[in-house]
Amino acid sequence: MSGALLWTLVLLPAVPGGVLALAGGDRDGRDRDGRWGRTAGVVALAVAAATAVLALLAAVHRPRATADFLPGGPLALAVDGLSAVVIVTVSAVGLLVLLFATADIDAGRPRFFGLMLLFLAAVLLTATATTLTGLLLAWEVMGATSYGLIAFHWRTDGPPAAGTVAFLTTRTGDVGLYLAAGAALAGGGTFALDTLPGLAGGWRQLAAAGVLAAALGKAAQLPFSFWLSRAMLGPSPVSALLHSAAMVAMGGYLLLRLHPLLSATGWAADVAAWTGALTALALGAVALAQRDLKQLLAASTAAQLGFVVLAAGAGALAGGTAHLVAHAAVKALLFLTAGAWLTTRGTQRLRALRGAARPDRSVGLPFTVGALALAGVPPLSLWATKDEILAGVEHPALYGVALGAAVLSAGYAGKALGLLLRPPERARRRLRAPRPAERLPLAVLALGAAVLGVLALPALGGDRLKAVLGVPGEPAAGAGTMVVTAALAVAVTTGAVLLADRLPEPARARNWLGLEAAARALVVRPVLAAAGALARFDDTVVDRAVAAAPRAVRRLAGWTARADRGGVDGLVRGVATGTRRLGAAALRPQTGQLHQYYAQAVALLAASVALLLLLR
Amino acid sequence: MTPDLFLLLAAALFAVGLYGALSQQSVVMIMMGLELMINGVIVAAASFWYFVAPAQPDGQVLVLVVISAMTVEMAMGFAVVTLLFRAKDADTTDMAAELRR
Repeated sequence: MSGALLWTLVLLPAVPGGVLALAGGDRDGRDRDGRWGRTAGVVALAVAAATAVLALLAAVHRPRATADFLPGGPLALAVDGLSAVVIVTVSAVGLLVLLFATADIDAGRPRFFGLMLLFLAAVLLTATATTLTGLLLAWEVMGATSYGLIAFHWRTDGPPAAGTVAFLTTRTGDVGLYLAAGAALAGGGTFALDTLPGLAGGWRQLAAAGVLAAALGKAAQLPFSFWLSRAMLGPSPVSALLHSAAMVAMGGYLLLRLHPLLSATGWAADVAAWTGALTALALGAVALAQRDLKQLLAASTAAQLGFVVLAAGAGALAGGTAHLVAHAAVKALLFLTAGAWLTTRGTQRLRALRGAARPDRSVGLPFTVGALALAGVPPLSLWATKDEILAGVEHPALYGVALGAAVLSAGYAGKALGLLLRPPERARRRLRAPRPAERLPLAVLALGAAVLGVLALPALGGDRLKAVLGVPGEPAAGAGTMVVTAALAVAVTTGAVLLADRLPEPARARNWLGLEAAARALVVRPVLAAAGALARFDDTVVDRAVAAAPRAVRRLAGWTARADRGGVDGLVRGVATGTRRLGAAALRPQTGQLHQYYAQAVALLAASVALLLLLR
Repeated sequence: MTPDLFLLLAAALFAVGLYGALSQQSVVMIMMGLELMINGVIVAAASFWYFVAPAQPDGQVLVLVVISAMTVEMAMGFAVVTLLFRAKDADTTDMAAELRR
C-alpha cells in the first residue's frame, strides 16, 4: 500500500507529462490558445494538484518502495524527513508555477506542460531515491527535460544554444555521479546511498569527489555557474521552477542528503563549504552588477544555493534545508514577477522596468516582499534561515565570507527593489493587467516567502524541523547574531535602495566573471581541438590506410595478371609451339624416298643392336 | 662343317642385299636386294637350327614362315611396281614419292 503511494507520486506526473510532451499540437506555431492547449493546461494543473496532495500524504506516511531495476541496483524509493520537506516544497511550487503558466504561456502549451510534468516527476524521483541507480535515472531525465524547457522557444537561435550550454555544463558535472556509482560498486558492491560513507578508503574519496562535482554542477556553483545565466533565455515559469525549487535545488539537496559521505572523507565537506561560501560571495557581486532583472535573479540563485552548499559542507543540515525551502518560495516568486512584467511590458531590463512595481500592487507587493526576503530583512524568511546556517559555521574565515555574501545579497536585492520602486521617468502607456491565474500564485508564494522563516526559528518551527530531519543537536542562531545580521541587512538594503541608480556595475562582474569564456577557453576549445586533431588523424592515418588497401590490392592484382599473361599463358603457348615444332620436325624424315626410309630403318636397327650389345 | 661358314655366308648375303637396296635406283633392283637380305636371314636361321637344335622342328617352321612371308612380299611388291608403272610410267624410286607426308 505504502509502496503504491510512492510509485503513484512519481508516475502520476510522469505519464500524463510524457503523453502531453509527445502530443505536440503546435507544429506550425499558430495553435495559440487552441482548445487542445487549454486542455493541456487544465490537465497539467489537475495532475500537479493531485501530485501535491500525494506528496503531502507521502510526507505524513513516510512510505518506502523497492523494485528490481538493475542487477545489484534496485530502484528503491523512500521518504524520510529531508525527502518529505523537499517533495512537499517542490510539488507545491510546481503547482503554483503551473497555475501561473496557464496564463503566461500561450504557444506550444502541450509541449510546455508535458515537459514541466516530466521534470516534476524526475525531481520527485530524485528526492525520494535511496539508491544511486534511481538517482542517476532521475538525474538524467531532469537534465534532458531541463534542456527541452530552457530551449522551449526554439524558433530563434538563442534558447537552443542556451539549453545546450546548460545541458552540457550540468552533464559535465554529472559524469561525477557515474564515477560515484562506479566507486560504490567497486568499493562496497551496493548502490544504496546510505552505504556510501562506509566504502573502502580510496573508493570513498572517489565517490565523494564525483557526488561533489555532480551537485556543484546542478547547483550552478563555481565554476559551473555560467549555465544559469544562459538558462535565463527560457520562459519565466521555467526559471521559476528549475532555478528556485527544483533543478539547482537538487544539487543542494544531494549534498544535504550525502553530508555523511562528505564528512567521512575529511576534505569534501570543507571543499563544499568553501565552494558554497565563495560562490555566494562571487555570484552576489555578479548579481549586484547586473542590468537585467532575470540575470540578477539568476546570479542571486547561484549565490543563495551557495549558502545551502555551505550548510551541507558545514553540517548545518536543518539550516540548509530551511534555506532551500525558503529560497524556493522567494525565488519562484521573484522569477514569476519578472515573468509577469516580461509579459506585460515586454522587457526585463532593470532601467526599462523602473517603477514597474508601483502601479499594480498585485505584482508589486509580492515582488517587494520577495526582494526584502532575499535581502534578509527581518522578519522575512531568508533572514532567519541564513542565520541558522551561519550558526553552524565554525571556521572564522568561512564565517566572514558568508557574512560578506549575506551583505551582498542585501545589496543586490536592494538594488532591484530601489529601481523598481522609483517613480518612472515618464508616464507609461496603459498595460494589460495580470490575470487572476497570475496573481494567485504570487500571493501564495509571497506568503511563503514571508513566513517560511519559522522553519529556522527554534521556538516556532526550528526545533520541529530538526526533529523531522533527525538532527536535533544542531546549533541554532543566537539572538545576538540575529539582531546584528538583521541590522546589517536593513542598513545595506536601505543604502542600496537609495543608491540603486549609482551602484557600480563593473563589466567583469556584469559578464558573470567571464566564467563562460573561461570554460570555453579551458575546456571547450581544447576538447574541440583534440577532437579536430583526432579527426585529422582519422582522415590522414586511418582513412588513408583504408584507402591504401584497395590500391595495394589493385596493384597486386595487376602483378598477378601480368604474371598470368606472361608466365602461365606463355608457358602454355610455349608448350604448344614446341609441340608444333616437334611435329614439324617429325614430318621431315617422311620424304617419300624409299632409300631414305631404308637408311633410317638400318640406322634404327644398328642403334638397336648397339643398344642390345651395350646393355647385355 | 662348322656354323661359322654358314653365318659368314648369311652375313655376306645380307650385306650384299643391303648394298643393293640402298644403292639401286630401279625398283626391281631394290627388290632383288631385299630378296638377297631375306635369303641371308633364311641361311642364318637354317644353319642355327641345323647346328644348335636339329632335334626340334621349330627352326624348320621358322624358315618356312620366312619363305612364305617373302613370297607374299614379292607378289605384293611386283604388283605395286606394275601398277606404278602403268599409272605414272615410273620405274625408279625417285619418280614415285607417294609416301611423302
